[in-house]
Amino acid sequence: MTKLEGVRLTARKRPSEALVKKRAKGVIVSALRYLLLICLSYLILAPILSNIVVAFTHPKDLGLSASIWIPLRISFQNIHVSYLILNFGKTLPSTILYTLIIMLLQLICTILAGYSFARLKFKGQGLLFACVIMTIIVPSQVIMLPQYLYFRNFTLFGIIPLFNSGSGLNMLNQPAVIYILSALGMGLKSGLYIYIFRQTFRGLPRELEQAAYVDGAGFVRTFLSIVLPCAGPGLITVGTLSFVWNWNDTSFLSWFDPNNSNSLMFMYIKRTASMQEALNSISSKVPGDYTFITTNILYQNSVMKTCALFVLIPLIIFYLLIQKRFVQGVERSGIVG
Amino acid sequence: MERKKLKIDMIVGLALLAAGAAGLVFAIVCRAKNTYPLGSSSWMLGVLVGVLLLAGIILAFRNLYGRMSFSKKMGMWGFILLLPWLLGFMLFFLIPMLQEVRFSFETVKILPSGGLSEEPLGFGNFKYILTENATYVRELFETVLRVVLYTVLIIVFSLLCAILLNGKFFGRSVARAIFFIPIVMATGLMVERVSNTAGLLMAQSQEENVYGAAIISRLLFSFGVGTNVVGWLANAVNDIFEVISLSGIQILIFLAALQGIPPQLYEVAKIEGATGYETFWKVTVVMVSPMVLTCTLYTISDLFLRSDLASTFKTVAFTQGQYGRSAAMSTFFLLTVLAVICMFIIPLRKAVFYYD
Repeated sequence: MTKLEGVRLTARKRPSEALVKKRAKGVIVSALRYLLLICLSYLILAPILSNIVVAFTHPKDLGLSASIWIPLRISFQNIHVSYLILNFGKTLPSTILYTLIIMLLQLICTILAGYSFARLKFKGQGLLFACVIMTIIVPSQVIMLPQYLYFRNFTLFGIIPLFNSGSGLNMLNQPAVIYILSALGMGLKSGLYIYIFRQTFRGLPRELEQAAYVDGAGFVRTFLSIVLPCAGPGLITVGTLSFVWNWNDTSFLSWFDPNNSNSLMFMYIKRTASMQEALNSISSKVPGDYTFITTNILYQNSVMKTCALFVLIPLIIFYLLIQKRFVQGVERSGIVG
Repeated sequence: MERKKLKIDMIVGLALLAAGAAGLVFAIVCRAKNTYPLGSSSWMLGVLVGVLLLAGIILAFRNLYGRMSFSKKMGMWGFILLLPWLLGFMLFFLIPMLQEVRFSFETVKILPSGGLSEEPLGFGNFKYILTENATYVRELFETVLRVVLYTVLIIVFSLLCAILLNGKFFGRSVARAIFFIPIVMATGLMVERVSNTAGLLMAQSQEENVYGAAIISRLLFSFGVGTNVVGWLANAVNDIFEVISLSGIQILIFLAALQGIPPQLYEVAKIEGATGYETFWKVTVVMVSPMVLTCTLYTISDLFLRSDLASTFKTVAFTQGQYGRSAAMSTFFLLTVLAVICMFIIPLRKAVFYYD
């Protein structure tokens, strides 16, 4: 008994040298990892946090070294002014609706195309997939000009003039153009989504569908009740990416619908192009003591930053709600296949 | 019984098709004569013709579909599912691209009536943009340089980040949530003023700096470090946010790839006595090399998509009314993009290792 205890004691006293080395190495590696992670997280979060701080800072305290990270006096003036500049109460719901419609149209078109490329082979499909890759590679601004001219006089292979007293339709200055493009797979980064869905469906076991066919289900039924439920991770990945990117994108709007006043991001870009004008335009709506420093560059900057925050905050909330499923979705959707 | 029903379907379908075709012929005749008896409600005829043709095709095809072999059926469904994309590709990608190339050899003007006037010009537009236009060549060159530099930076950085985030450690889910925020904020594809997230969130005026890089550069100045070095460092600090904000998707792809590496490979390497360094280069890097190819392709196209050259195309087209020159700029831009992609992809393809 005593002998055994002695052995144990010595063993505890002198752990082997290799073990010490290993432990030290482990500590150093994890310390390094945390250091890097913290630095990079700071780099990512600092701009957002500083914008949040600026949003709550009293206009008279801007630029004071005492109120860089913690505002001296908290005020909601910046927020109120930005809210009015962006017309947030009206633009937020309409942007959400607009983005959701685009997202749904893109999802429907790309999931069908992706499934077709993954499972339903026909002659010449390889060539078509090369075309999908081409749509990913070619930057869309290259083809915007002909698209613009095309939508000025929309004929659809000469079919529309037949039923519209001989003239084409002018589709510009309405979001319909963007809906059409998204529904036909030429929206923002649709090629990438087709690729992701193709990889997702390739990773599914073929036996699932075969079993359904053997049991007598037709194609449509198999697709709806077997294939779609299995595509969950891919749907979440593509849905999130599509929503977020379309929210932030204004390229289509600036070509096809330049007078749009419903898109949050577009509104932000137009209003911040001339902060002075934007501030003047809302000066009648704010209480008298707000407008005292509208010509101050520092103040204009802080309002601009608050506006940027207004544009991004809905996205960040959306992301925080969905991020766990999104990361899982990417891992399971087999982008990497 | 079943066969009889199918036969009736076929007859009804053919009848519907014939009715639709008659409507179409009527519309074409009207158009040829330039008289429109239906007036402003002729779109209703269009809807009717469309519905008739569609219903006719479906009914008539049902008979044929029943007799097809299984693989033929699947092929047909594949084609049907691809139809929306195919239509979009033809209408809004292939035709516009060919048109763009054609425009670039022409003088194009928009007529007041709404049509286009096109006169052949030869290489005049290209000559103009390459020799006479003051900014185009310089802007293009800067864009290419930026894309090449950033592509390398982003690929290396995102691979490192993915390795950092891989594995089990305390606070992993929080770290991941933070690292993917840049995907959400991936702002400004081709936006004129805000070409990246850094532009949106960070200092609009030069003096302000979120990270306080100014303090560091002042400190370095006081130690007598050269202006070039300090400038480069300050730029690097400011650039790093841009690199981070552009590499969200790449980190995600690499992370998924890292988790797909079979753990047996690491076990074997350990048993064979490989050091961590060797394991990294001979297992990890080799196994994610296919994804390096994918990520490079994606990064290059993404960076070109974000370049602010698009605003130049637009100004030339709309403010100056030079549609031909704008088209020539786009065409030349496209050629440059393809050249850069080839430059990266061809050597990479040789280095990639596929594990099966």
